Amino acid sequence: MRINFDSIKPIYAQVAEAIEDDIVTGKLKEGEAAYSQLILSREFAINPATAAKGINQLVSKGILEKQRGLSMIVAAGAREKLLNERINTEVWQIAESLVDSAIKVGLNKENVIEKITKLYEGRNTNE
Amino acid sequence: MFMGINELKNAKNLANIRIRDNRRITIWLLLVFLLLLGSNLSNSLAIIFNNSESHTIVRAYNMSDNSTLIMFGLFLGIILMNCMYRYDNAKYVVFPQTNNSRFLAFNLNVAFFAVITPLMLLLIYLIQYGVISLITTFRDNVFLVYEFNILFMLTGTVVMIVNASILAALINFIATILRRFGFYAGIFLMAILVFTITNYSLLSNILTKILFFYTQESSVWLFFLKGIATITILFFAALVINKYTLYYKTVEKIKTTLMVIICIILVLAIFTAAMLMDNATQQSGNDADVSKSIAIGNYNVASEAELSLSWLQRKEIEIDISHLEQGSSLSVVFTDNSDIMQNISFDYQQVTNIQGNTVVIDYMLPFYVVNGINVNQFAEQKLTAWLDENTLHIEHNYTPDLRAILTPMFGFMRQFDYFSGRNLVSESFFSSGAHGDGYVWISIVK
Amino acid sequence: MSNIIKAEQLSKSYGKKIAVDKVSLNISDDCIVGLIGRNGAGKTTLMKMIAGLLDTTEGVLEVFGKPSMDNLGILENIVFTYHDLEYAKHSRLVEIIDAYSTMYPNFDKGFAIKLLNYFSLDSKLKYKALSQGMASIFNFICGISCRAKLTMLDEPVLGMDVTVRKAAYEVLLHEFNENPRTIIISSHLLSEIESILSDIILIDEGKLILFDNIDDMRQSAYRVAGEQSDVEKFIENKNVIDKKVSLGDSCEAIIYEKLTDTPIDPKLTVSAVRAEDLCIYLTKENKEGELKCLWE
Repeated sequence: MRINFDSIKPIYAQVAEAIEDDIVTGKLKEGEAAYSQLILSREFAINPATAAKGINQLVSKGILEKQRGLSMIVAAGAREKLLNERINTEVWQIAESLVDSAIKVGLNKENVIEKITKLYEGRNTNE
Repeated sequence: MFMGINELKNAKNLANIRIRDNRRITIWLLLVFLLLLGSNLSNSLAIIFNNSESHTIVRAYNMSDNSTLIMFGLFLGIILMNCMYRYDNAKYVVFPQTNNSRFLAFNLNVAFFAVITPLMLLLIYLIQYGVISLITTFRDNVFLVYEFNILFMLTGTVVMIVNASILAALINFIATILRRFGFYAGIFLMAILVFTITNYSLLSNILTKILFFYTQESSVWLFFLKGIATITILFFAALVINKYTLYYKTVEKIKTTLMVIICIILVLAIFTAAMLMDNATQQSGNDADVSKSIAIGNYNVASEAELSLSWLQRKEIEIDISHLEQGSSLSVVFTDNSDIMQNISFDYQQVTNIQGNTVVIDYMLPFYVVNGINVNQFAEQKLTAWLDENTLHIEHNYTPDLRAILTPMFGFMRQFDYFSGRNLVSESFFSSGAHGDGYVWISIVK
Repeated sequence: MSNIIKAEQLSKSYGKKIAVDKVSLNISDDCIVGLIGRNGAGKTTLMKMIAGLLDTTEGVLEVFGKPSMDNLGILENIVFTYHDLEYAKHSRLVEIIDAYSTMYPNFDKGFAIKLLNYFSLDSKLKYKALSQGMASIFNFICGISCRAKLTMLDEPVLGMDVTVRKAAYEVLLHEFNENPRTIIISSHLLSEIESILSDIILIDEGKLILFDNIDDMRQSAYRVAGEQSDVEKFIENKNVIDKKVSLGDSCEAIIYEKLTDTPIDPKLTVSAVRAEDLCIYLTKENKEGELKCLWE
């Protein structure tokens, strides 16, 4: 993931999101060490203080945990927490605007469910 | 006290860097000296080994004898270094330093040149002396006029270092004042120099007195004391003035006006130096007078002054002729393996009618005096006389084809009583040479 | 976090001309500070005063707790390099590095040689034979090899081509991670270095405009764009530092306030302001009117 300096999202928030992505996809496992600020600094070519801010944001969210020593580990239940968060912010919000848009153009519930079922089947056969 | 131990270490490190950066100049200097040595040596060797002339003086000079040229070069060099003080400092601005350590490092750099130049001259002299003394072992007719004296050489080197350091301390002191007080001090200095030119008799007297304070000092220890005291006072005065000089490390390139001022100062300095030298020579004696009275070659009673010179010693040989008949004649045969350079005038009276018991042969050997040293002393010059029945043989011989090599060194050492008059240093600033005829005067006494 | 540099009402004037005007700031340790400003704004003067190369006219300046000028103990922990730094004529690079290692106690000579190899500089070259870019690389290498607690680099990348610049930033960041210290970089290429900065100082005409954490600074302004009427309505009662009206009634405004959570009219586009652009807006002289007159 590359940092986008033009985004309205602060750099440290983008860093936090990158860590979250890796937790969600399973690259970072719970109970294991997360990326340190030095690794992040090197990876994204940013000041380690900025990286540290991103890490601290995740610590206060409960995603990362400070352990004895310097390293941060992925907190227990972090993945689930993130998944829930993403479901709520991304998936269900999109669902809301999908339903709003569907109603606006006159589609009813059955049309929408049918379409969604077809999409899932399509995805399943491809896997 | 003045500087803490850290500042001193810092100054030493900075000085080392500066001296290392001056490597090129030092090597160039050494090369110039070696080049001059080379040309001098080849010249000397050509004269030594040519067989056309006989009995020659070889003047194998080296730069340390009349060291005025060296001192003048050092004088210019040190002035230049002081003018470039700020410009040079810009090259080291990135390194941690203080005002004092910067100043000390600069002075150590100048001191390096004040020490290395006499040492280089010593080296040149040793090479020269070594090559020539090697030749003397192979050739019988080659002699070194000045003897090798380690104490003389070492003392001379140290004295030259002290001389150079006094010069450096003085120039540094003036330069520091100029830097502190700037433009107005420059005007003041210029006014003094102009005054010197217009009323030079008054001021040159003062300047000459100051010069003689050092150059007429006859005791070595007192000279060292004076020198070290002068250097210390001037340096510490400059250090204190420099402490109160605010120094902005902005890079300053030499401006043309500054160069013009430098040139004016140099011209005036040359003028002043020439004037002082003129004054100095009038004070010291001139060998021309002495040589004139000798060249007449008269065998009248010599004057007191003349008697003290060793080559004007009259000698006597007495031979008993009491066994010879009174009234008989005595023939005299005089052999002299002289060459065009020497001459013995031969005079005798009444040898046709012997009226006495003893033949007295009164003689003075011909001499060839260079720089106050009789070169003929190396020629194993002697006059022998013996009687063979009625014939008086007188023989004057000496080593033919003499090559007397003059390698004078550290001419300024003549100011010291300890070293003068010992065949170590030439006795006057100017080289002189005079040769005079000898004479043999035969008389018969009772 | 101890204060490395403390300045209070610091001023420097040359006669009537004021180079630094009552600057007050505190810089702590272990950070990379970008010193940004236009040419002649006073950045170099400020850095020189901190490095003990210039006298202060007014105010207090303490580095490691004391004034830095003529203080060896402090000066050995400060290194200040700039692009036209001079060394002795005919010096070779390796000789200059030797000089650095005698004068700076923490200088790492082996590291400097490795960096020279990394940037393909022959250590036997003479310094005066280097081009502008190569000289900048060399001074940059010397500056960071000093491992000085306070490292100040004035336009360190001047003359370097873009590949070398990127390598230099990488080296700087990596070295900072290995051996943290306070680094102050003055540069005109804020867009390139902003990622590695932790703090930013903006100076204009000798005055301190801004001294902020870089992340906070990025969040301190935002841009709204859209139809002029919508934009005008939105920017009422807001601190607007720039407004531009362009073709077809579209309008863009820079608001110097932190973006709040209150929802914004969906007809407006909200985007971030690059730090570099924000600096321009904060120091801009309005020459727009003049520009048009040039061709009339």
